Amino acid sequence: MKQDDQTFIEAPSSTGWTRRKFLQLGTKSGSLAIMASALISVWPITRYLSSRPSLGPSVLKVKEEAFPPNQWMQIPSSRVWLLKDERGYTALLATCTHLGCEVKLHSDNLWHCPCHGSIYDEEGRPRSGPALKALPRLAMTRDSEDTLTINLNKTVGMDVRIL
Amino acid sequence: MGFWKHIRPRFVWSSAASFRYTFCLGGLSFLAFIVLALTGLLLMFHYEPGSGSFNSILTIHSYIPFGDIIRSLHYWAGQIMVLTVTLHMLRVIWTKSYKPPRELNWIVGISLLILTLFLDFTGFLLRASQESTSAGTIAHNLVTLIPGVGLDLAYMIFGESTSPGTSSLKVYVFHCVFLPLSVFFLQGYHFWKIRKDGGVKPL
Repeated sequence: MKQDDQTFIEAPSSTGWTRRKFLQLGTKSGSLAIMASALISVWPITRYLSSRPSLGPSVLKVKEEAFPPNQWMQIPSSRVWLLKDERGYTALLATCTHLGCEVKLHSDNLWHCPCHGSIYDEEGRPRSGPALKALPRLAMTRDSEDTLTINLNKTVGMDVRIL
Repeated sequence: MGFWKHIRPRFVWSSAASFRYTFCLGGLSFLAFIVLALTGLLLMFHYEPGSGSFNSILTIHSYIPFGDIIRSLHYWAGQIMVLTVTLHMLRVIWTKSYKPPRELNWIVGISLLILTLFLDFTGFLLRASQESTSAGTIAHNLVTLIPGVGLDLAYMIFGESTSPGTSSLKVYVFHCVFLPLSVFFLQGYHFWKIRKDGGVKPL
């Protein structure tokens, strides 16, 4: 050991350890342990924060009798509207195809989006504003004599009807 | 910046650096407080105060990934903090560290003990179990017994009396914001005052 490397004089110790050395090692390994635990917590915390507890229902069941013909009728507390015409039933999802705000059927028989002013005609085809695609129609199945089941995750063409 | 200058003293008495003099009880309480702050912040992302609180705890505990670990850490760190803070007070009595010049820090410490107990109790109320809603009702009714201001005070602290499975938004705000911030700043003063009063050296 070279003498000129020593900047201070330590009290002699039988083990070669001094309090200063011990505390320096402790500080270093402590900081390392904190950094390591922060690093391994990143993945669990990301998973924890990004977890969605409630996805909401993926189907809607509707009683048929409540809907008069040739008129869009909103299913209560949902964005789904039903229309019964001479060919059968169709379900429309009143979510703007621009950025997802809820559109409403106004008294001029056009669908208006309150967010950026997109306007759709009665069938849901875009007429003006930033939206370029038509309002989606949802797939339906007939469960029983008077119950329709609407699949909120599956869209169908505008002309599809169910009897 | 007197805080940082006093928190790192120029020297510490060797007797004060002895483990058996303090048993690190104050430091352990602070460690528990840090764990509580971190896990509590995470729990706030999924906990719902109000009518959905008991269900949101069930969701955190059984559905959300790592939710059970985070909630259990919060619960046990809380239990440990109440224990270490109480033992810390007994240690201070044992070593007579409440005597001059440290009377003020003793008062601050007692305030911190009371705040810790309030944090523990409000946390218990936020569980919204049958047991804790009963405890909340009892506490609410005890506060109402204070002459004159009782009713208003009870409403201020607990809000409307709650039914099982429901927690009070007011208790939630006290537990998550007001009480922890008070503890945080009082703790800072507490630590600073230890150094200002001459470390933890025995009288």
